[in-house]
Formats: sequence, structure tokens, C-alpha cells
Amino acid sequence: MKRYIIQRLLYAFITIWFVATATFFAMHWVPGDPLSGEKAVSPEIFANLQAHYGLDKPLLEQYFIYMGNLLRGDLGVSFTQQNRLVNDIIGEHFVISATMGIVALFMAFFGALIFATIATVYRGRLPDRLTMVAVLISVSVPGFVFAALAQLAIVQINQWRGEQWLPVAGWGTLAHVWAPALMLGLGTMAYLTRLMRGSLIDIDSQPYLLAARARGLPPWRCFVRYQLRNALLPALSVMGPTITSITTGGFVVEQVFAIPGLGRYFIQAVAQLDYTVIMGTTVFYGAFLVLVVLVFDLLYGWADPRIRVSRALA
Amino acid sequence: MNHLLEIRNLQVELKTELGPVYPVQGADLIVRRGETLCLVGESGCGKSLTMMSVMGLLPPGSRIQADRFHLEGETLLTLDEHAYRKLRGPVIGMIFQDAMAAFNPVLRIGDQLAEPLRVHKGFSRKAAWVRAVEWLDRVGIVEPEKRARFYPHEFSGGMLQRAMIAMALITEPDLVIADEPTTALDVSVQAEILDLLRSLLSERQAGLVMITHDLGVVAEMADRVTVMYAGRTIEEASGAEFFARLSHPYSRGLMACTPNWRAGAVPVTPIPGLPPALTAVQTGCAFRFRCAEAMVICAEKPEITEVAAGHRVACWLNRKPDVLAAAVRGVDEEGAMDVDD
Repeated sequence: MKRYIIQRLLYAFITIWFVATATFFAMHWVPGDPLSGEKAVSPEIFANLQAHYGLDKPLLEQYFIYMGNLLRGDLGVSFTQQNRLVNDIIGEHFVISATMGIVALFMAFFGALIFATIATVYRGRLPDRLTMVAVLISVSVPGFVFAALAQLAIVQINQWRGEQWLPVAGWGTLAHVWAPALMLGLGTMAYLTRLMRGSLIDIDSQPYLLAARARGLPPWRCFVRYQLRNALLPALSVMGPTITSITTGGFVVEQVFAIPGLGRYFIQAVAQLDYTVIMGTTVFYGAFLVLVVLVFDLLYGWADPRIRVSRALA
Repeated sequence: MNHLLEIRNLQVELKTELGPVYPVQGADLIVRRGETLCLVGESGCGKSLTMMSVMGLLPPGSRIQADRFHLEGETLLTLDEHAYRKLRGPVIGMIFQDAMAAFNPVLRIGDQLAEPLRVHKGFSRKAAWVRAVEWLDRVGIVEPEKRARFYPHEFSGGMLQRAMIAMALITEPDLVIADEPTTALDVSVQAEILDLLRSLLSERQAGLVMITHDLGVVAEMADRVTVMYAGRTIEEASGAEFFARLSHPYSRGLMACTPNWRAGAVPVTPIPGLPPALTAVQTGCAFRFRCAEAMVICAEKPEITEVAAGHRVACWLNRKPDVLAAAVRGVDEEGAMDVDD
């Protein structure tokens, strides 16, 4: 087990290195640079600026300097935001993205649990069909469409009630979280609902469920311990990719709801070719996702004894 | 006389997308305390469904009716689900064919054994675990303390079948239903499992219903034999009487297709054809299409009648000559008249 974890961490390190290197050269390959803005700058000042930021050095040298700093955990200084440290930008704004992401993930997971249960209990009947139609719509329509529609709905409700029921956009209070998190989690919720419903129905005809009932176990116990528990495993196994999609989906939802999360900085940085912020956010997100996937793989092994290392071999 | 389980003329109706089907239409059987009943017949003859109706575990939308459907003198027909649930485990236990599939793959063997004790008998978590380990020991699992913490995939097929017997018997049921408990096992393990089952049950005078199509197992185990064909009981007798006087052509057919390795034994003869589809409407004897001895009269349904003490058969061949003669006359004169005994 220890060997497995060390091996996975090594792979994670290689992945992150590859992401950093590819991003670095791709970014410099793009025409333009972060220093040429709309204001005309004299060639002397431009050269001074280039020297100040180290952009006058050969690209390979810049790369090695950056990688050295990265290993020490120093992501450098932003080109466009009044000399803010990239570490500080990530530190301040990732908390916001992470809060929204975690709430979205919880909503998606527990929403899926509830809807999948309803769909299974009323299989083939109206509640099941409604759920499956909603699932189909939610997985096929992009999240930003729902985000905009949700804003529209909130405006309507606020007008109708004549008070600020939910804020339409922005960040700061708990009330600001619900709508964007729900919109962010919707696609994932739909996907997980379909997955769990499939597993629940599959387990319905498993002999071990019949055997549990033949031992006179109460219905809720049969359902929770023999049906739901087993149906959660496939959902758990896709948690890594799920968190990836919620993270990247967050970039868009943050734009729509004007949330000062890290995603917005990432998009801004790409548009302005803010080299250090592009690198910092890309490497950070890359490392985050690689580690999350690793953690969930380990959790899955813990939850499903069948894929644990066999006792006989251990 | 109070039988442990008495079923007379059981009818089961299942709901399907194509409308109702009647896979069991006239099942009869009796189980006495301390006895083993072997329920015999080809696949799809309604053996398992008959026993699942005793468990009260038919699929949703099913309906049953019967002249008698009594467990220890009490009818099961009027029980609600809550009362039925209290029977499953402490009164009726069930052993499944495929032990690997009958255990939840993600729960420890010990926890699955202990669970019914906690639910039905109010055992503490610890006491239930201790009892589960005891039972694993009793069914012959070595190092039971260690093995109780194993997951099903860490057990071999034979060990799982032993664990399943422990799981069915741990709540000490009066009636145990075993649905082909040894067909999934190696021949060498089969005999051990059967011996184990028999010794555990005779300790407590529990009744056993064994669903099987292996007449070798029947000869070994059966105090009573009940043969079903197309959802109907066509022959029932004590074990010795059954093999001494195979009275239904179907029973003789089953016997003829059981391999016998003794010198000079006749070669195996299969019964031609297949059992009828469940959706088919049955008139007359359902076996007559595959029966080498079928007669015109077989288009009439033969009632099940006693041919010797405790030996009942549903076949025209076993009727007394005068009954048969009268019935044949009836058929000749009126084509299809009802025949009473």
C-alpha cells in the first residue's frame, strides 16, 4: 500500500511537471507579451520593463529560472495586477472557488442520491420519467445557460416578492452561494443520478438483496446496507473526473455570477497574457486535480474491499 | 396431525408485461418436523416459485391462493408483510444456490451472519459477532475468528456455501428451504455439504425442503419426495416408496436420465421435448406431449389420487381399472367431459 501511494505520488509529480512545461512553452509561443498594452511606451522603457521582469533572457533560461522558483513554491509576481504575488492571488481567491465547488459537489451528490432513490422506487412511473427527462436536459444543456436562466428566475422572484430573496450575483454572504453552486452542480447531479439509478436497479435483481430479505431484515436496512451502499460505489469511482468537471465548470459560473473566484483570474490572465498568473493557476489547478483524483482512488479502495490488495498476497 | 408445512392446491399468479401468467397451478406438498422433503422437477416447473411463496418473497404484483397454505397449523395466506418479516429468519430460513451471489460483496462475512441476530433477537453487536464466529466454526470453517473478518470474495465456493448454511441456520429456523444448495459445487464438496446440513438439522428437529433435480441427492437425503411438472405436483411419496414404485411416467423419465455407473446399467435416456411455457393454458395432463404412454384420456386433467398409503400420483395410468374404464367411456361418448373420482 505504501509503495502504491509513493508510486502514485511520483506519477503525480511527473504529470505536474509536464503540465508546467507544456503550458510554459505554449504560452510563450502565443504572439504578444504582457507588457505591450494599449498605451504607447517608448522603446527604452519597454526594454527596461523587459529586463525588470526577466523577459529579455533566452526562453530556455527563463524556463529554468521559473522551474527553480516553482520548486521553492514561489510563483512570481503578476504582470498586470499592481505587483501582486501570484501566491497571494491563489490563496485569496481559491477559497472562494473551493467553497462554491464543495457546496456544488455536496448538492450534486445528495441530490443525485435522493433523485436516484425516487426514480428507483417509482421505476417506470411518473416520478421516474420526470426525473429521467430532467436528467437528460441537465446533461445536454451547458451549465452557463442554466446559470443565466437561474439569474433570470431570481430576478423574477425578487420582483414578485418585492424584496431581495436571493442576490442575483456577487459574493460575500451565504445567500450568494446557493444559486451558483446549484447551477454548477446540476450537470454532475444529473450524471450521478443516472449512474446511481442504473446501479440501484441492477442491484434490485441481485440474489444478495433477496437473501437479505429472506433473513427478515427490515426494508430500510435492506435498502441502505445492501442496495444503496453498493450503488454508491460506481458514483464514488467517478468522483475524480466529477471534481474536475466541477472545477472547470466553475470558471464559467464565476463569470456569469460575477464571483471573484480563481477561475476569473485564470481567464483574465489568459486574455492579457499575464505569464506568471497563467503559469501559477495552471500548475495549481493541475496539482489540485491530480491530488484529488489520487485521494478519491484511495478512498474508493477503502470503500470497496474487492479492489483492496488481496489479504493472501499482502 | 399437524404438519410443519402443508400446501394443498397452491396457485401462483405473476404479473408480467404480457399479462398474468400462472407458473404454479396446483402445487401440493407436506413437510414434517425433522424430515427432509426433496422437491424434484426440471427447471421452470415452479419448484422455486412454490418455495418463494412460502417465504412470502414473490415479485411485486403476484397473487397466491391455495386450499391449504399452513405453517405449523397457521395459515400464511392472511399474514401481512410485517408479520411475515418476523417469520423470515427465526422460523423459515433459506439457503440459496449461488452462495457467491447471495452475500453482499462489500460486507464482512461475520457482519452478514450477525445481522439477523441483531435484528430478530436483540443481540448486542459483540454477542452477535461471537455467535457468528461460533457458527462459522460449527459449519467447519477453520480459524473462524479470522475468517469472520473476511469478505465474500476471499472465501472459496465451498466455504461460502458453508457460511451460507450458517447464515440461514443462525436464527434457528424450524423450516429450512435449500434451493439447489450443491449444484454450484464440486462433486467432492457436495457430499460434505449435504452431510453437514443433515447433521445440523437433525439436532434441532427442523424440517428441510430441498429443491433439486439430482435424483442421486434425493436418494441420499429424502424422507419424502414431491415431483412437480409444469407448476403442478404430479407425484408425492416417502423416499423409499418413491424409488420402489415410480408411478408417474415423468418420475420414471427423470430416473431414466440419471446416470448410473453400476455395471450393466442401462444407458441414460433423456425425456424428449421441454416443459411447457408458463403462459400456456393447460388442459389435461401437461406431460402428455412428452409421454411415451399417453392415451386419449390424458386430454382430461388427472386428479392427484392416492395409490398407496401416503403415495399420491396424478396420472391416468395409476387409476383403478374401473375408474379408468368409466372415464374412458365418458371421453368416448362426450369428447371432453369432467371426470370426478
